[in-house]
Amino acid sequence: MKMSKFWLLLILSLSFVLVLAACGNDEEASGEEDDTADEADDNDTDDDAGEDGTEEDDAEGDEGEGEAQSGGTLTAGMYSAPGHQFNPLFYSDAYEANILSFTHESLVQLDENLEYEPALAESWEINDDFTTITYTLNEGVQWHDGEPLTAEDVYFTYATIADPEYVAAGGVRTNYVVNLSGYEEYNSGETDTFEGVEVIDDRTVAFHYDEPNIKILFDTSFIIVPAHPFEGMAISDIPDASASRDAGEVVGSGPFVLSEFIEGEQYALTAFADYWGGEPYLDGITWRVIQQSVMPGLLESGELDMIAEPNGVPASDFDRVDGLDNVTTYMTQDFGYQYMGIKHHHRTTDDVEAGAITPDNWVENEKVSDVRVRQALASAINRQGIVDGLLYGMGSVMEAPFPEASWAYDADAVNEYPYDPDRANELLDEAGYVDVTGDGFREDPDGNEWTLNLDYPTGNEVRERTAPIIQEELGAVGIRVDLRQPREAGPHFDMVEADNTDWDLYLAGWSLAVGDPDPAGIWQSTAAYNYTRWNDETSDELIQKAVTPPDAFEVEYRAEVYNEWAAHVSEQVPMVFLYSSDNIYAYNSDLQNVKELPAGIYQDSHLWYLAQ
Amino acid sequence: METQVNQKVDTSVPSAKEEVEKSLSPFQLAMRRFLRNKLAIVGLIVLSFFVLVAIFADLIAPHSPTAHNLYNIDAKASSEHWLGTDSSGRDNFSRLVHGARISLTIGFFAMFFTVALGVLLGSLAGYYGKWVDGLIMRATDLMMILPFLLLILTIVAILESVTITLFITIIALTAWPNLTRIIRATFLSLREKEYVLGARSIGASDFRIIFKHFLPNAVGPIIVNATLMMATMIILESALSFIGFGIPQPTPTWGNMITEANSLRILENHWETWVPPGIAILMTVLAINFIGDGLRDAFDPKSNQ
Repeated sequence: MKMSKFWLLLILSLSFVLVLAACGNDEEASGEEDDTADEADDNDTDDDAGEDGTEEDDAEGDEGEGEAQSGGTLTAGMYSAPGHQFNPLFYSDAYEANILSFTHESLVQLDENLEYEPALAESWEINDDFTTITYTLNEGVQWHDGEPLTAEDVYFTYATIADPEYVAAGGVRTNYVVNLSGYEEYNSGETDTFEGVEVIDDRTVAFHYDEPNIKILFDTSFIIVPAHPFEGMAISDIPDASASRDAGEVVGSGPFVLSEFIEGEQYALTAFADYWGGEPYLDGITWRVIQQSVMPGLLESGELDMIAEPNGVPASDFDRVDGLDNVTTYMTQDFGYQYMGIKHHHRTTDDVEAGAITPDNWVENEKVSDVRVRQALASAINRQGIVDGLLYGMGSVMEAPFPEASWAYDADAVNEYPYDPDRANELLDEAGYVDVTGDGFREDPDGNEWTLNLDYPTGNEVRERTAPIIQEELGAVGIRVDLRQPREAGPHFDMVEADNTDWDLYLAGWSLAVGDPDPAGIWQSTAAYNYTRWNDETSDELIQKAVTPPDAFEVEYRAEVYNEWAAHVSEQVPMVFLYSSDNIYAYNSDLQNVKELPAGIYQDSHLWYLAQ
Repeated sequence: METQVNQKVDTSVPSAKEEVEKSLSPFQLAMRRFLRNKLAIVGLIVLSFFVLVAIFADLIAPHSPTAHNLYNIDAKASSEHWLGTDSSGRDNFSRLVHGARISLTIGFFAMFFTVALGVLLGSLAGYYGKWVDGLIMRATDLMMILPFLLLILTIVAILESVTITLFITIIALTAWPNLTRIIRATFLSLREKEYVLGARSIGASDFRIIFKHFLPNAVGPIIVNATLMMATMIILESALSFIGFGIPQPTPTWGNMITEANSLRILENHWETWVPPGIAILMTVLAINFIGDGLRDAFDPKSNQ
């Protein structure tokens, strides 16, 4: 007994000493850890590159400094795991996009002025009335499996999206094809050939539109998918096919191949030697799924080389990361935004199973159907406070889904909802939501309990932190919010999509393509991405009006219509736009040739190299 | 040493001493031994301190533990916020104080219900034997095959929302097998004792035998295991909250507070956010373990301290 007491005391005192030591010597300790971490990382890299080991050594010998050097693996981090879908036709989250940006390509891509430049296509020609665009494809483009990329693949990509079964199979990209000629006929199953896309020869393909298309380049900028792995396959089987899901089986034309992954942890991309733009300098890129909060530390220690989409480095860590000698930061405004979604309608279980987006069948969510309630939600949340506090001012509050950088943005066009709890209270009183039971929370106009559920995903830490804040702020104006247990991003977005649930409010964000401000893909009531299931005739009409020629060829005219639409949106408050944050991309300073574009930094990754 | 003392007692004034010793019940003897264990007393004092803090949390905490302030995020310690504020601008000291309440509540009730379940099933298995024993023991085997932490993580992941009550229930329903086995083993050995045979032969009911003869004799292992289990439960709650599978935000728990230290920025520059809850967990768990050790020695008939 005497002995054990002695040991306990010893352990007790030792543990205190350890705690105190940890407080005092933080910097020294972490410095030491850095070194070891670096070594460990290098070893990993060697292991990863196992097969290419000799190649790497050769390259080092051949090339001098300052020149692009071959070899090395880049480790990049993202905070949520990609959903398990690596077919561009069916992917839906930004985490999958992180992989696909390196493995697949489009006919055209955006340059630094946000204008389209050739990618897979060598050149294009648009006819005078903007109804036909003819692309000439680059010569010698190969798929990862060695097959040549031809116009047939372009046809396959667009025909699949136009297929009658596409939406039911889980596809959400129909906005790329709905304006093509013959869409109706093909989509209803009347014809077996899709007239909208015409294969002229192996390297020439034309897109035909019935009406002049003012965003013809944007509409033809979808990622091209190979036809041969899916030959003879029913559309409904494609999302589950191994060519859509398995490492080594996913075939693209990009500079990197998805060669191996451990679901939810690590996704290894290796260089594609026969890439048409030239063999990539890097041996590979490894994506790791890492908690957002630990990323800056790993970047500092060199265990992580890049933090990019979505959202980049948390704003709270910007100063720290920007001050690192071994890291380059690049800040750009996010074209996407974070929002608190309001489920205006729920689809029926039958519709969810059938994959149908039919507004007529929707069931209204009466808890949020009063526009004054929605306006009160917007007024009760201190969004400027979130930007100032959680984002350290690196972001902006928005009232309509156009970022400041867009030509469709006009600050004066929208109704604003500055933080004003009194206004929220007034609106709720006016709408008949008053507290009759005296428990501090309002009841609905019939005197029944009124609780709004709020669901949110983990991963994005600023977003995670906003959830309890929203609960408290809404509680302050008497709205009872049931804050649910947060889910991983994957299941959360599956449920956002399924919506045969009891959801009222949810947190989510959009990473948006910047090609054209046309909001139809998310805001048209029939769009699969219309997650709030907002069904508003005025909105639908305005969205169509803005792209209806001939007026729509004038940017001023479109801007005007979008202002009108933005005003309508900001009056109806279909969702509460929380903030649009500045994206802070950060990468290892050894990484050279990164193109810092407004649309991101992933372009031309085959030219990236690590200075050694 | 001990035997010498006993011999002395025996030889000098045997009758008087015997009377004194006889007047003490085994439980009193145990208490006496426990109170002589200084480390255990220290543990008791520390634990009482945390219990008092938990009970009077509302009076002690200067702020609401969930009230955020977006314009005062990650603040350093000041007279307004004694331990600064966290990444949502909530007062760390108030969260620490209220965290004691949540952590101790979870620790105590999770332990209580686990013990209740374990004692019930263990007694049934140990007393009745045969198929009852077989059934319950197979059930414990089944539970023990599943990795405990993984099982809890799975359940929490499936559930829509985790409240404190639910959390306690989940733990109680998954943690009982160990205790059940201990109780059963104790009962199995007691079952063969003569006094039990005696009780049975005079027609005592099963209920009476279990409560009058078995449980008092098994109280030692039960209390010791219960105490140590409480410490485990507090750690479990912290660990689960730390990895985001415990009590969800904004409820203040020590584990939730330590999660903040995930970020290197907080870890290096804002020690006041994560060191105090860490020390609180350390002290509480250590205190409970000292008490548990003290109790084990006290109830151990072989130790004569």
